[in-house]
Amino acid sequence: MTGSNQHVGNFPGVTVDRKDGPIRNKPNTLVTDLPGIYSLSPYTSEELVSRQFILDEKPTGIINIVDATNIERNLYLTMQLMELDVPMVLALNMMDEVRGNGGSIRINEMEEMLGIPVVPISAAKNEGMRELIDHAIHIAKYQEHPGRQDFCDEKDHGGAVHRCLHAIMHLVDDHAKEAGIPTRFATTKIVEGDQKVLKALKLSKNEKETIEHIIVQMEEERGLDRSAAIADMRFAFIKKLVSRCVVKPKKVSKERDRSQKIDKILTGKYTAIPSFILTMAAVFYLTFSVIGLYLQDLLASGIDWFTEATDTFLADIGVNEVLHSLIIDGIFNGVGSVLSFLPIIVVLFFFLSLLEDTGYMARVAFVMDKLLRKIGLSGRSIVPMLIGFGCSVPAVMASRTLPSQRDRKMTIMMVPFMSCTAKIPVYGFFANAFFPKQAGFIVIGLYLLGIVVGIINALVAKKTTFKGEAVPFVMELPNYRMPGVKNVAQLLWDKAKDFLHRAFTVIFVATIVIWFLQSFDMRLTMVEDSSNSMLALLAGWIAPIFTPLGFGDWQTTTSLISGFLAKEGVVSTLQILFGDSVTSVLAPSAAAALLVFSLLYAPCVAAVAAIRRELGRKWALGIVLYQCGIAWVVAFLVKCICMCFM
Amino acid sequence: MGLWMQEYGATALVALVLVCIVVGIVGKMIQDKKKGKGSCGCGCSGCALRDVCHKEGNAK
Repeated sequence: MTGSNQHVGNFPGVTVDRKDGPIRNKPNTLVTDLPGIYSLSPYTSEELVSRQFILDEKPTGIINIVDATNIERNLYLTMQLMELDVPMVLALNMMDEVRGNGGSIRINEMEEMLGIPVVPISAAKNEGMRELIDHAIHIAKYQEHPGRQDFCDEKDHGGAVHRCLHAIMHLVDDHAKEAGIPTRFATTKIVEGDQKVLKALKLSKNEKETIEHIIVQMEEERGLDRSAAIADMRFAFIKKLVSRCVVKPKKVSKERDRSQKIDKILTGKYTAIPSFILTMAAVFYLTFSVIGLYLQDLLASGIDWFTEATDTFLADIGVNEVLHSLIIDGIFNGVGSVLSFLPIIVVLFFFLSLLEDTGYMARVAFVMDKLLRKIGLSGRSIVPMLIGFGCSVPAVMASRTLPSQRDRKMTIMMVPFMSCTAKIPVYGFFANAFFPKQAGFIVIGLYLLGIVVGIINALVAKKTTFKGEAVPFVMELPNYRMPGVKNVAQLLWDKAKDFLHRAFTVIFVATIVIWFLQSFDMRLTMVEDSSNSMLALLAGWIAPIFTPLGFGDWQTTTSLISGFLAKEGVVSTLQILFGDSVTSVLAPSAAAALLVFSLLYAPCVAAVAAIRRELGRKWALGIVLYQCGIAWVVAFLVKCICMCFM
Repeated sequence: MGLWMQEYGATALVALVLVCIVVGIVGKMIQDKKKGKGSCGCGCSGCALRDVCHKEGNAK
């Protein structure tokens, strides 16, 4: 609608905040995209964001987009939105799918029953969008409020709910107007026991008692508790509306039928986890051992050729040796070594975006939910954790969607154990150098190890620091669908651009600093042997900590320190300090331990800053130290195990 | 001067280009940091949570 290029995930719970933009070719408009929600109850941050926006910022109109293939569920929110008395147009999305399966919706009758304009659309095929925009602008411009807000039936169960709601509406009308909350909305929220609305209305003690009497009377007459009675009232209206306006397909839709068949395997009790592991193994094998590796070799050859050409050129024009060394041994060597991993990242995210866009990642969340609940985490934690496979920073921020502080802290502690994009060059570098034939399996092993360590960590936390139960998680599984080319291309472009941006900013500057520190001593005299450099002196103080792990040399220690700035820095630093001789310096068992340490030790400085923002300085410092400790112990165990077999 | 240029001209030119690049990069990093972009190592263009960091930039 706005023409902006936002990444759209076929994955619920990813978007938790609002996005603004003008409608394409309508510069005087402003559309605010709110997170997808099912109701206006203040249980999750998505619902809170949407509700606060409508109540506080008073939009001139609402475009309510609902999934026409599952209209009963989505109309519940529609009714709540209508109670807010804001001009609204209802867009029935995925109408192409409804029609394709032999169903139809009587639009005019629905408009009549609801008292708002209803527009059938197909967002994926761009059908009905112009009509939707015209209607939206019209209702906003002329402030056409919903023709109906009252959905209670006076004949339903003796009119218990109807009488209750209308009695309370009369009682709170003046308070609601004063608080700027629509009376009908305030009334249903009072009955549902919404504390935020109750507080905003500033009712007297007498009024509260009277209201409570009315509600208790209704509960007795209706035979349901207050929330269930309101929900039942809404669903009764929806049922009536659907029976009059919706012609349902005679059989289950093709998409649903296909999805159910696929789900029997991909989410089956015994097949879900093996399917997930097999899928990810195939993705990593293709990325690290076949397609990505081939493309990486091609790019590395290009980088080598360019480095040689620059080397010759600098020698020919007689550039000073120190500057020559800085450019070739420092910048080209360091940045080039990181840059060569661009194809690996693009190929990996190509496969992952395919999985996400088809709807498989939503199944992964569903499958993992069971596991997460066993370890005391909320199923909602899966969203930040999956984002963590891209980058820890937004993953830490995504933990804001979790309603309990306990779940948030536990999730944030787990996120850095997930393998973010920046760790891929580290995995690729060591796996290809030390275990070239098993590179794909080594990498998937590292991903799994991160998850396993995170799980053990959560289990320990559940028994000690974070006792209690996690908040339940409800999620909708979308139908499987063909991935969209635009969506996949958008994600790949974003990943490639961000990787290049990092390579030519943080890594570029880091390589210069590392080259300088390893080329000069404390008196700023250039050294022949880098073991006399200031870097060797500084890193040499910390290096003994890593001696039991098999990499107690100052070079590897330096690479781990630079990895704290940006994880890719581990590779660029090792390339500068060791060149191509890293395999002769480190034993395979030490390389395995180093890989594990790189996976588990403190997250990068940006992620630590995000943790500090979310949980405070003490927690951030605690997590850094805790993770370094865990990393050391696990790396030591891995080294011991490797030494037994190698 | 001519002799100096002959001997050190290429080095000076290459050093100047390099200094300009580094100053440009560091300047960009500081600018990004001030705009709130610097905290996220992965970039923001495709991030579902970009508005959490960049509310001011997007406010209309």
